[in-house]
Amino acid sequence: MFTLRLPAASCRSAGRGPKLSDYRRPGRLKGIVGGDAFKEKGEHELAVMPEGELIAYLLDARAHGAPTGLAVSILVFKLMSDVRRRVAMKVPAEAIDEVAEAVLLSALTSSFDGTSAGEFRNWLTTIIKRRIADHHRSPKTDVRLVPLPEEHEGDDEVWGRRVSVPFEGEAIDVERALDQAKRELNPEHLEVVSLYIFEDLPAAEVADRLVGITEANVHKIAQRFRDRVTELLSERDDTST
Amino acid sequence: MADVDTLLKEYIAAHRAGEEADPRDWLARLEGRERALLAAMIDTYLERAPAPEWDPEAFRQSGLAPLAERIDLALQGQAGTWPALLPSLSHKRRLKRSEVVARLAGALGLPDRQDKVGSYYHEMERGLLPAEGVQDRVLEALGSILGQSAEALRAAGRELAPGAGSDVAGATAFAREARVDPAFAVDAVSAPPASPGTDDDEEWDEVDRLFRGG
Repeated sequence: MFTLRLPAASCRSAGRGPKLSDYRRPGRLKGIVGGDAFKEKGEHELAVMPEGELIAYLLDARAHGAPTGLAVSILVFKLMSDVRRRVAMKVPAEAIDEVAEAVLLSALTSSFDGTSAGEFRNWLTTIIKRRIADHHRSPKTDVRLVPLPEEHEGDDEVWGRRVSVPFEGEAIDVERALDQAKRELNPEHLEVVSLYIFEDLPAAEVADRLVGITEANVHKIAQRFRDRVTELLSERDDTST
Repeated sequence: MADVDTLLKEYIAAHRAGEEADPRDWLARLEGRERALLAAMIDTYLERAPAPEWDPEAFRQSGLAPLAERIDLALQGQAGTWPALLPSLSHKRRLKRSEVVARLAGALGLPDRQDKVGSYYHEMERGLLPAEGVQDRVLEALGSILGQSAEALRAAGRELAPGAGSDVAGATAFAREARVDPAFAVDAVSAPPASPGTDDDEEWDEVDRLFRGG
């Protein structure tokens, strides 16, 4: 049994609307959750629900003994492709499906433990990291003993045409540097970096969305962020030599 | 970071366009630290990227339905992640359900009671059999067949009750097991339901005690 701790400086949830924790307060959102007020929803309603609400609906449907198959199917469909993509960058090709499935299973079942409140995407990220780490800890699939893909270049039967990032060393350093650089930003600047760099919105659009931020500010904040990441990585180099 | 930035932009555009957008195709264009940096940045993008809209036809063609069914069985059942875990483990070992049942009955010293053992195993796979009733002897035998410890199977079978945690060892074990081939999944989920030992008129026997006696 575990309680997931959400990273404090993580990006905002991709889901819109109320948080999962809102649904756990009796009477907070009547008609979806609360006492005996559960109302089964149809496919059209479920299809447009933000993920957090869909998980909350699943929780409530299960508690009321109502069918959950459709909600589970929608969640699996919506989440699996990007979970696979994220896992694919960190584990060997032959392990992608099993690790991605484990992520989905963990995400959808552990949502019912009553302790995992908060933003669904952050929480999913935590689960992805855990499951990838689990995979790499498994003696059966010790990635350190697996030859790198380049050694089998052109041999699709062995490795396929794609490469992933070794889980240790460089990847960890980079993730830490990025996390630290993000943590050092105030919420407004973090939003600028998130929208401009990680969502690739035009600087003008980012400036339009945020009060008091000009297009020039956007470029400046983004460049400072890039410089800081580079600086942090250099510091890690200095430390390790 | 110029190359990384350019590739990240390209990746985001491909993802938004609904292309396959396998990150490894972009990572392959860089090496070392730059590759790691691009991976971290793509991951950050994907963390908050909008999910695809629900498309029932695409779902049917995706091959995800058996996984969704197994997760739903786990959520609806009273045997933790067994409905998801057991078919996956047997698939990993390339064992059909009937083979698992035959070996299990044999390991329990009940080769002539395969039908009843099979009914109980079916209930385990469907999440219908409370895990606490299943004796260690069964889980030890099953674990040896499926390549898992009895303790891991026991932990995986803990009920996912509302308010109870569910990140049990079984979930970790599941992480190491392969996805289920449809042929095996069908075998696993379409067997006729049975409720051995639930008839008041029927006397409990050794099989009932093993699977329900705790």
